[in-house]
Amino acid sequence: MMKLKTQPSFNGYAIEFSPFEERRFAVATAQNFGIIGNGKQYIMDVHERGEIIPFREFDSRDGLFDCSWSEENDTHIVASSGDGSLKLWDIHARDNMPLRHFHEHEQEASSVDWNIVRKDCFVSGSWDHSIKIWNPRMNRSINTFREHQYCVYSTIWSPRSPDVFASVSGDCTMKIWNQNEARAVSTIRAHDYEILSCDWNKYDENQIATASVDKTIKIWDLRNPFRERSILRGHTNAVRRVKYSPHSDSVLASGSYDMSVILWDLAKPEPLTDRMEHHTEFVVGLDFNMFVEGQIASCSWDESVAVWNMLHRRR
Amino acid sequence: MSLRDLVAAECAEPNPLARFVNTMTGQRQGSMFQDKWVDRDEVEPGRELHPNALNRHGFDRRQRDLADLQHEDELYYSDEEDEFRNLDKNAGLFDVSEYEEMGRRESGRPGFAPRPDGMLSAVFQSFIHGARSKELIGPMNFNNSEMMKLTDGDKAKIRDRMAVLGRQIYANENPEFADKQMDALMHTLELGGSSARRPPWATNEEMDAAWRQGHQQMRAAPPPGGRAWAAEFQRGPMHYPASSSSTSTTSGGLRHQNRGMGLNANEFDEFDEMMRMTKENQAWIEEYSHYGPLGTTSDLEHSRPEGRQWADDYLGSRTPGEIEQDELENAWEDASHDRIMEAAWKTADQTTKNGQLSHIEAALAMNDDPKFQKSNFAQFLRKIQAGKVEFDETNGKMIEHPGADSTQEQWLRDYNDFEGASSYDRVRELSGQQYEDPMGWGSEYQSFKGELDPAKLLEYQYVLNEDANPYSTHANPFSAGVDLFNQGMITEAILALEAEVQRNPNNSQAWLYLGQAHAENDKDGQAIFSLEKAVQVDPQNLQALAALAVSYTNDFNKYKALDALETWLRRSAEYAHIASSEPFIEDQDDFMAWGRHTRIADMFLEAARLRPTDPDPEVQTALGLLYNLSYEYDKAVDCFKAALTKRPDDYLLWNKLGATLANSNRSEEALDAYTRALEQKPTYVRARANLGISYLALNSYREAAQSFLSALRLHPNASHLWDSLKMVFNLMQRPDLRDKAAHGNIDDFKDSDF
Repeated sequence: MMKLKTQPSFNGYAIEFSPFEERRFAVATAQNFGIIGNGKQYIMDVHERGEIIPFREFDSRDGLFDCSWSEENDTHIVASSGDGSLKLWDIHARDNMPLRHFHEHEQEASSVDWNIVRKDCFVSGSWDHSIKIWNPRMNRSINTFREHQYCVYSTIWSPRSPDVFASVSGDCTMKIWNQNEARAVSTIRAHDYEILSCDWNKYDENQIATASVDKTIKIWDLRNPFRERSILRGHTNAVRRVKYSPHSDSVLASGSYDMSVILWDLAKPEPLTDRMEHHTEFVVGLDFNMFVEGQIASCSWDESVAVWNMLHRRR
Repeated sequence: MSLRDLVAAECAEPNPLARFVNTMTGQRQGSMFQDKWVDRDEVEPGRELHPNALNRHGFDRRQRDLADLQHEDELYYSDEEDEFRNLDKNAGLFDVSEYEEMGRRESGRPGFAPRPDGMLSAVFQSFIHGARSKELIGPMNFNNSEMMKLTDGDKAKIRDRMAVLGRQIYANENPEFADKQMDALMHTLELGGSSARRPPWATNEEMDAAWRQGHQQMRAAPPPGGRAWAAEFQRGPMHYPASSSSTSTTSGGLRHQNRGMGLNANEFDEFDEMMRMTKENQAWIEEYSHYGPLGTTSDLEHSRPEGRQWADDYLGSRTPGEIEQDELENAWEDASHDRIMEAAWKTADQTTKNGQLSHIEAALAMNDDPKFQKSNFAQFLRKIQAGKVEFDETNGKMIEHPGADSTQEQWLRDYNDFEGASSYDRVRELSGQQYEDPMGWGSEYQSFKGELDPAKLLEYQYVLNEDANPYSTHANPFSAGVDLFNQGMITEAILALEAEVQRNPNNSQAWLYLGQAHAENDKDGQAIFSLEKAVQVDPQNLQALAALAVSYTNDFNKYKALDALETWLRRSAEYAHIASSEPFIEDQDDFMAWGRHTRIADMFLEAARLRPTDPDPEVQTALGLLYNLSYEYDKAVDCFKAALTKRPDDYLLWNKLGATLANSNRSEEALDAYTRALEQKPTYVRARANLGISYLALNSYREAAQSFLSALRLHPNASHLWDSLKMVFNLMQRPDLRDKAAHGNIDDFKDSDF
């Protein structure tokens, strides 16, 4: 397992592998646990000799809560900030100014995700309860959706349908949207407590996972919005991030406020396959590398970033 | 006045700001910010990498030089502050008037205090000051001539984010409770009494009103989606939330309005119930009940795979003929009992809705996961709560007020690493452990870490009150110490045993007793130190190894606890053969901990199977610890109970059982276990403190206070117990008693008349 400390007092919030370069990933961080202070967007590389080397960093006025790589330009990355703005950086720019600065959300912008099918737009969710769709070439948002009743914590595009995305919120619901329709396609009251994260199965466009403050992850089949397909129990505190593997239709990983990362395999009778406790603070960010099967990166409020391969683990 | 003029007037050339401004205003031409999407494959001729772009980011994986770091950050922040200007100048993304408007909008936003001279000049001024004083510029710092207090905007920010995060962390325990905690926290921070953000499941009168309003609107609104199930959705007693209420928050300068919508929790429950009934009548549920390898939720809940697994383990540990139906049934009953307790717990939570709980301390105490207590975040919350932290905007850092807890420093002096080897780390490690008492108080280690001088610490030996120790001249301090220990006079016993180990550092048993004495006094840091010493002096001191595993488990030092358990197994005469087939991997990699845990648990299970009819209490205790480490509290409870059948008068075991029950929210059962422990040993401070915590969890404040007081009578210097006591008095809304407790004098509480 490779580990690297970020700068002191900068706590990791999100980690994302580049969709273009297999060794590169981005980490969004915020000072003082994102409560007050600045933010830093790190770009880091995994080197062959088993080290993580920081490639670049960008500063922001407020903490950064999420980031997402552009799907159409390998040097662009967008990050969402505590002041409600979204910042688009070019990682080869000679200075640290964002190429674009999108500021419409009135409160903390908690999530951002680039459309991986259409590639020309991204979605952001905010604590102001709204969801916005952006085109990186335009200064103003293309569309705004206001249906959630509380902070939106995660907005993720469908890996198959060009216009469909899911959002989860502290109002205990998950909503499925088509960006061409004004209202949500479907609303699922997925948990009894706040929902912090969701992700789509990369092989089954109807399957989606939600992670909640109730310590569970639920697997949903969108064709049956009334009842979850299964419940994954194992975390002992709120589950902050859930991601499906890009290499399997049954493997997912989750990071939690209980400071552990758990790997799940839905195809196994006992789905909890591994629990890792390499972080000493809340695990907030997590991602699979789509180029290297089994490689996972995690970031945590312990100011550290870890990269490892789940297939190489000794048991 | 242009940017350039401003800078030239204020500072002369080689200075980072001037360089930055030159780069900004002079050499740059429009192509810089050309939209890359237009010609993404073309390499722009004029576009070369910043000379430092790679160098300055290829920093060492260890800490960079601090000076460099600050210098760079100045540049970065300068960049950041100027991003609008730069964008509009170079890229034409929006024109100046738009920018000015943005500035107005920014300053008009309640989140930013209005700046008299306009935001722009204030921002530039802060640049200049920052460049001069070589101080890191906090971007939100617009008035850096003095260490500022927080602006209203910052306060609102802190308040909102703490509220949102706090709820995420505490809500699952009890939403109402979390609400109260946050109110208390905001109050402490003087950020106004009411919470800015109220999640939908919170209810109060305003919410109800808004909810009714929403309901009416909903009836007029078309059904969302227009699907069949949506109609079902509506027919239920649930009211689809429509508009948001705009309940203004109380204090001024706050930027958020209360937009939470009331979805009454009961309504949700009813809705769920209704949905469930509806579902039963539908054919598709059949189809879905077969869906997926895991089956449906209800399948999962009824089968409890963990429970079955555990039963299998039990089966494996006996020969078939010896399996007693009763035992298995009991195991199942226990499992269902858990669920009943869970339900009871929820009900208890409901009853506290009227809210006597009103302090953040209680929230922290309620979450007694040691790993959580140990986390920097929990400490951060505590420090903010205790007013020991302020945000210093000039440096963009949290400032801690030092010197709040001198006992810790004292302790560190006393308990420096005995060998002096790698003392700094060792001290850090131990000091971290020292203050992980169950309540998690006094974690002020961070605040004085900066003053630590490793060389200085090397001087200290295990010399505690040497001149004051009456036992230093005692003829046989060891036997005196053991006697005192058995009589429950722990403080005295510690003195005597310290005298013994000073005189005779190779007395493993003395170290063991010393460690156990410290452990009984709730001092796992010292206990670990002593027990490590006991094992070092005599590697075959299995009792010390077992105790060490316990103390490490208390401390949630998983790796060390696993080390101790595995070593114990390898060195025991009876079970060494189990472990000998496996290589001993002392792997400190976090990464391996889970696998290693499984491996060691397997070995102990094998050891347990060797004695199917006559369980070895040591092995059962070890298994109990292992399951505690993996949060499998139900299994742990079974193990401790099995061990107790052999050692019914082992008060340490009863305490372990109690703590495990308390950890799995079975506080009522925990009370029984602690009481049993205290029957065996009335002077067991730790069990008394734990008893208090369990009473606290059950909202029996009076009993909790009495437990803490009885513990304090035995051990009047335990500051964490005083803190707990103060907290209980707070919860009882007895400020008079709290103030009395603040003096820390046990004699003030001769009569427990409250």
